[in-house]
Amino acid sequence: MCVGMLNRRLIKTLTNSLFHAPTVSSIVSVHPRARRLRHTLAAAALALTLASLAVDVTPARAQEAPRAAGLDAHAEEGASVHLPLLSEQIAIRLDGEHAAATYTHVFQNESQARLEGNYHLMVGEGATATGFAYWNGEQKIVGEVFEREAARQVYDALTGLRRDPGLLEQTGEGAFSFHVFPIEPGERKRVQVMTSRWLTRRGGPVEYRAHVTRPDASIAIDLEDARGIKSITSPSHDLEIVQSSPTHWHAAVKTKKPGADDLVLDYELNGAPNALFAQVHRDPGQPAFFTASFATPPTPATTTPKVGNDVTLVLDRSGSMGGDSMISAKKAAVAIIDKLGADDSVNVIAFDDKIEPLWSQPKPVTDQVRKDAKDYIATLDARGGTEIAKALEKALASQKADAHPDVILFLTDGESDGPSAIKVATDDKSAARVFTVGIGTGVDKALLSRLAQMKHGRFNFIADVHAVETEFPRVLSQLDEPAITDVKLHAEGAQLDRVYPSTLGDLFPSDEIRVFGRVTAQGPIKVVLEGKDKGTPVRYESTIDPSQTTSAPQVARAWASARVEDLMEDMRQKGESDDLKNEAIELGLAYELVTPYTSFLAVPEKEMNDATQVAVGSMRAKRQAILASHKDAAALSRMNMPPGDPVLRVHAPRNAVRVIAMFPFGTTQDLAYDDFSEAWSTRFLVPKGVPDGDYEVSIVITLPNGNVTATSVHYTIDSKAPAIDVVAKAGAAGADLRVTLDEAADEVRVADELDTTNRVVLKDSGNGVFEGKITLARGHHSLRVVVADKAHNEAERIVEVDIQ
Amino acid sequence: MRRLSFAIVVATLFAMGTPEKAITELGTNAPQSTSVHEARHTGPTVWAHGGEVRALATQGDFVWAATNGGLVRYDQKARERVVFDATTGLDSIDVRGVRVVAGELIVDTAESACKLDNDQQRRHFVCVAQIAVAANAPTGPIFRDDHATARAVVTAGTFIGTRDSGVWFLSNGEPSSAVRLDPAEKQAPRSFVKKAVSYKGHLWLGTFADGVWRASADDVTSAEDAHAPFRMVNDMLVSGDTMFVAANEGLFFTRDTRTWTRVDLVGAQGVTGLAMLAKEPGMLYATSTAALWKVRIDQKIVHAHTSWWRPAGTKSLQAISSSGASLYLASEDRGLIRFDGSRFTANDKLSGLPTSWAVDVAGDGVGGAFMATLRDGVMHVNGDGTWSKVQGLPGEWISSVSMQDGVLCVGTQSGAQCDAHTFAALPDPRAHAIVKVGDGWLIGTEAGTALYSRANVRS
Repeated sequence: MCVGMLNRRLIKTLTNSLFHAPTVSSIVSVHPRARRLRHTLAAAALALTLASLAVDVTPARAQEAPRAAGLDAHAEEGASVHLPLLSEQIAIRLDGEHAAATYTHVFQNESQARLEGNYHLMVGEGATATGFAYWNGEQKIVGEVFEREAARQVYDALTGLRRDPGLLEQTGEGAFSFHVFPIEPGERKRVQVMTSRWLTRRGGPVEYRAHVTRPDASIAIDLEDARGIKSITSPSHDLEIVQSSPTHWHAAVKTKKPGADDLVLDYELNGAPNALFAQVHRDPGQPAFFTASFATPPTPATTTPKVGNDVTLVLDRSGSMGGDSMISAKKAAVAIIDKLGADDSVNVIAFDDKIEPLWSQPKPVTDQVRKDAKDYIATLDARGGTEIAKALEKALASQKADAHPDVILFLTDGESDGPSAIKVATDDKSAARVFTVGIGTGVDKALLSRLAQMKHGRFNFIADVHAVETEFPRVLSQLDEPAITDVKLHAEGAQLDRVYPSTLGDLFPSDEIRVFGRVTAQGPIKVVLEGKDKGTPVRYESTIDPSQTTSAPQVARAWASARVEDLMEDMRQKGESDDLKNEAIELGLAYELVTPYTSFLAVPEKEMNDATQVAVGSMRAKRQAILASHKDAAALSRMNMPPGDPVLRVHAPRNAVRVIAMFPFGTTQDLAYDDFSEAWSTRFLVPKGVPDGDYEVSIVITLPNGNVTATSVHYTIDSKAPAIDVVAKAGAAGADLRVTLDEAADEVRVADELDTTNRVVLKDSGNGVFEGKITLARGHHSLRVVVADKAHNEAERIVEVDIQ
Repeated sequence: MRRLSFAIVVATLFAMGTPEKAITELGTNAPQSTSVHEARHTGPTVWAHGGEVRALATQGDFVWAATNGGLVRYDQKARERVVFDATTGLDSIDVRGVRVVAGELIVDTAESACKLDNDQQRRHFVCVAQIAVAANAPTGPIFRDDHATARAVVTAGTFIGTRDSGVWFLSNGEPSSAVRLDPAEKQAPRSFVKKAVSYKGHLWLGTFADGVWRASADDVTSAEDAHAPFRMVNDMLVSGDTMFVAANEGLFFTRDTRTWTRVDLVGAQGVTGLAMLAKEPGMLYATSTAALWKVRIDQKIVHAHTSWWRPAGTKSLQAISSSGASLYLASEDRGLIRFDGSRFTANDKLSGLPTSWAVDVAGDGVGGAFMATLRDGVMHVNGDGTWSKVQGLPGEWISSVSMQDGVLCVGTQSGAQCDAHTFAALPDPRAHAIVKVGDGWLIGTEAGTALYSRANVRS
C-alpha cells in the first residue's frame, strides 16, 4: 500500500473524527462535557494528521478571510486547495418573516488528479438545513433524513470505497458542511443546500442577511406576506423589483454596491408594529399548526421620569473567551457603564470556575465608580472553565434591597451545567430580571433562553463576536422598562396545545416574540395576546381558521423543531427516556430535522452493496411509515377542485419498485420518481360526471423487499358556485361594497361594466364577509361582482348604483 | 399494446386441434389475421396501450376481457380472438368492466354501460351513460413479472388478466407454463397524447403522464419512449435546431434528441405553456402557474431573461399562444390575459365573459385568440376585448384548442372537430391533441391515439 493511499485512509479516519461529530441543529445543544471532549480529540487528531503528512506538506498558504461557501479539496498526495467557485445561485423565498433559501454552487477541479474535499457553507444565525444534494456527473444524489445511528453505519460502510456518501452536518451557528468524494479530474462539481430560518422584526424593517461568495452570484428573491408589503430595499446591492400584487413582490439582485460584502435586504410590511399576526398550516386529517408573532415599536419619547436600575454585569472570562470574544465583550461592558445615569447603580462580576465580584453590591454611579468598574474590566483576561450557575447565584444574591429594579446582564460564550443553573433560577424568588447575551457559536442557547424567560428578561444571541458592539444598543434598550409585562397567549374558540415557548417573557421596545403550537377547531378562532402596558391591560387579537387545509409547511417544521428542543431539554433535566427519544426521532424523520438522533445522509444508489441496500431500504421504510401517519405523505396540488388535472405527489422511497394510485372513479395510475422534486408524482383527470363530494385516492407502494405500504389522500369535488349576497352603498366618489358568502372564498372582485379595467379586489373581513370600495365617476353604474370559491367556481351579481 | 388496422374486428383463425392447443395458439406465435370476419367503413388506425386487463368474464365458450384497448373476446370453441372497439358501437375502448348478468353481457366503459344489440350478426353495442365504475385493485399477486388483475376459470384451465401484458392462459397451474394470448406488439403510452411536433425528421409525441415518445413521420405506431427526464408534458415547441418541452417537472430542451437540459426558472414548480413572437426570434415565452417568463434561447446557455409574476393577478396560468404582436395567456382565474409587451389585460368573467376558467388558447393570427374554457365552450376574443362564442362544437367541456393549417381544431370531452371536419369512431370521445400529420390527422384521446387519413374524415 503506497504512502499516498495510506495517508488518504488516515485522513479519512481522522476527518471522520474531526468533522463528523454528532450533528447538531441550531437550536438543540450537545451536552457541554461531550463538546469539550470532542474539541480536545479534534485538536489531537489534527496534530496527528499534520505529523503523518510531514513529507507531503507544502508551505501553508497565507490565511484568507473565511468564505461563505467553499470546497476545500486535496489529492491523495497533495496540499489542500480551495477549488474555484464557477457559479453561485441563491434562490430566496421570503414568506412573511420566514426565509427559505436554496444555495447551488458549482466548483471546478482544474487539476488532473482525483480529489476529495469538504464543502462548507455559512448561511447565518438561526439557519437550519432542510435538505442537501450533490451531483456525481449527471446523477443527483439527494440527502434524506434517517436515524443517526443507522445513517452512521451506512456512512461508515460506504466511505473509503469508490464514491462516498454525503453526511450533512451543522458545524456552527448557521454553518454546514459535508464531505465530497470523488471530484474527478476536470469535473465541475455541483452541490446544493436548502436552508430555513425565521427572521425578526424589531420595531422596524425585517432584515434578511445572506453571505454571498461570488460578486456575480445569481440571486432571486420571492417575497410574499398577507399583511402587504410596503417596501424592500438593500444597502448592499441594487435590486430590480416587480410588484405582482400588494402581497407578493419579486426581486432580482443586480450589482453589488461598493464596499458591500453580504447581501442585506430590508423589507417593511404593512400594519402597525404592535399587531398580532397569526398563520396556520394544516395537513388534511391532522390538527393544525399555528404561529403567532407580535412586535413592539421602538421606545417612544416619554416625559415620565426614568427610575434608575441596579445593574449587575456578569462577564464570562473563561478560557474560550480569549481573543476577539474577550475584547468585544469588554468593549460592550464599558459601553454599558458609559450609558448608565446618575440614578443607576452598577456592579461587575467576572466568572470562570471562580466567581470574582468587584463589589458586594451595586454602587450608585459616580465618575469614580465608573472608573473603578472600567479599570476592573480592563484587568480581565480569559482563563478557566464556565460556571454559569454559580455566577448567577452570586449575582442574584448580591442585589440591594431597595426600590430600584434589579437588572442582571449576563455575557457568556460557553456552555455549563444546565440543570444547576435552572435550579438557581427556580429557587430565586426575587424580582430581579436576568438578561442573557450569548456570544459566538458555542453557546447553549436553550439554557440561556430559558434562564431569561424564567427571570422576566430576554435572551440575545450574537453569533459574530465582531458584531457585539453594534448589537449592544439593542440589548441596552431592553434595560429600560418593558413595553408589555405579564404576557399571555390564548385562543377564543379553541384550545391551544403544546405551545413553544411555554413561558412568555416580558416584551421590550423594538422587540418581537414568536410562538408555535397546535390547535384543532371547527372554524375560525381568535388568537389573543394579553398583557399590561405600564399596568394598563392591553389585548391584541388575530383571526385564523384551523379547520381549513392551508399550506405553510415552515410553520409545521418550526413547531416540530421547537418540540424536539423541548424534548431534549426534558431529557437533559431528567435523563434520556425511550418515549422522549422516540418522539424526537419521529419528529426528526417526519419533518426532516437534523437533531442529535437524526442525520441527513445522501447515498449514491450505485455504490450500495447488499447489506447497505437492506439497511437503507429499512431506514426508508421506517421513515415512510412515519410520514404516512404523521403528515400528508401524499399531497394533491389542489384539494378542492372541480374536474381538472391536479398533480399527485407522494413521498416514498426512491428505490420503491412501484407506486400506484387508485382513483375512486375507476382508473389506476403508476407514479414516476422525479429527481428534481424528489417525490413520486403523476397527474390525473377527474371525469366531468363525478358528483360533488369527498373522495379518497389510495396509494400503494411496493418496496424492494416485497413489502407493500399504503397511504391515501383526500380531495373534494366541488362544482357548485357559492351563494352570495351583495350590498352596495353609493358614496361621494364611488361605492362601498359588502359581499357575504355561504362558504370560504378564494377572492371577491368587482368591476364597472362600462369600464372593466376599473376593477378592485375586496378585502376579507372574516366570517364570510368581504368589503371594499370602488372609485366611480358621477352617474349610473352597473357593477359586476364575481366571487370565486376555493375550487374556482364563480358566482356573479350585478348591482346598480348612482353616484351623485 | 394492441394495434387495430382498418377493420372493425381482427380475427384469428386456426387449424383444428384440441381446444387447449388452439387457445394457446392465440398467443404471440400466431399469425396476423389474413381473413377478416366483417368489414365496415374504414375507421382510424388506433394506437393504444391495451395490455391492462381490468376484468374477465365467462359466457359459455367465450371469455371476455375488459382492457384499456378495447373489449376482447376469446372464443374457446372457434379458437378466435376478437377485439371490439369504437367501430362496433362502444363509446370508448377504455373498457373498465365486463360482466354477464342473467346471461346478458354488460360492458362498462369510462362513461357508459353497453350491451350487444339484438342483431347478433351485426355484433354492435348500444351504450347508455353511467357514472364511472371503480377499477379493480392492480395489486394482485405477482404473475410473470407483472400483477395479476383478474382470473376466469374454465374447464381447460385459467385465464389470467394482467396489468401490463394482457391475458394469459394457464393450463396446469404452473405460472412458468402460462402462455400469452395477446400479440406482444410495440409499446404505447398509457396516458393520452397531449401535444405533438415534428423535429429532426421525427414526430414527437408529448403525453399526459408518460413523457415524450419519438415516432417516424410515416408510422406513428412505431413510437418509442424517448426516456426524457420528465413525464407530464404540457406543451412543446421547436425553434431552429432546438425542441423545448414544457412539463410539470420544469422547462427542458434538447438539441440532439438524446440529452436534455433543464432551464432553471427560479420559483417555478412546473411550466405550462410555450410561445414565441415573430418579432423576437431569440426569445421564448413560457408560463409557469404564477408567472410569465421570457427565456433567452439564442445563446449557448438558455436562461431566464425576465419574468412577470402573477400577470393580471392570476395564480394559475395554463397555456400561452401568440397572435400578431400580442401574447395570450390562458388562466384558471383571469380568463384570457392579453399581453401587449407592457400591459396585461384580463378577459374574464369580470369582463363579461361566461367564465374566468380558460384551459387552453390558440392565437388567430390577426391579434385575437380562441379561448378554450373548462365547461363553457370556446370563445373568440378580439384584441379590443370584444368576444363571441364559437358555435357547433361537439360539447361544452373543452380540452384543447389549436390552429392547424389555419383551421381551428377543438378537442372536447365529447369528440374532436376541426372547422367543419368531424372524426367518427374515435377510440374515446375525450379528445385532446389534434395534429395535422401529412394529409391526415392525429387525435390523442384518453384511451388511445387515432390516426385518420383524409379518406376517413367526415366533412
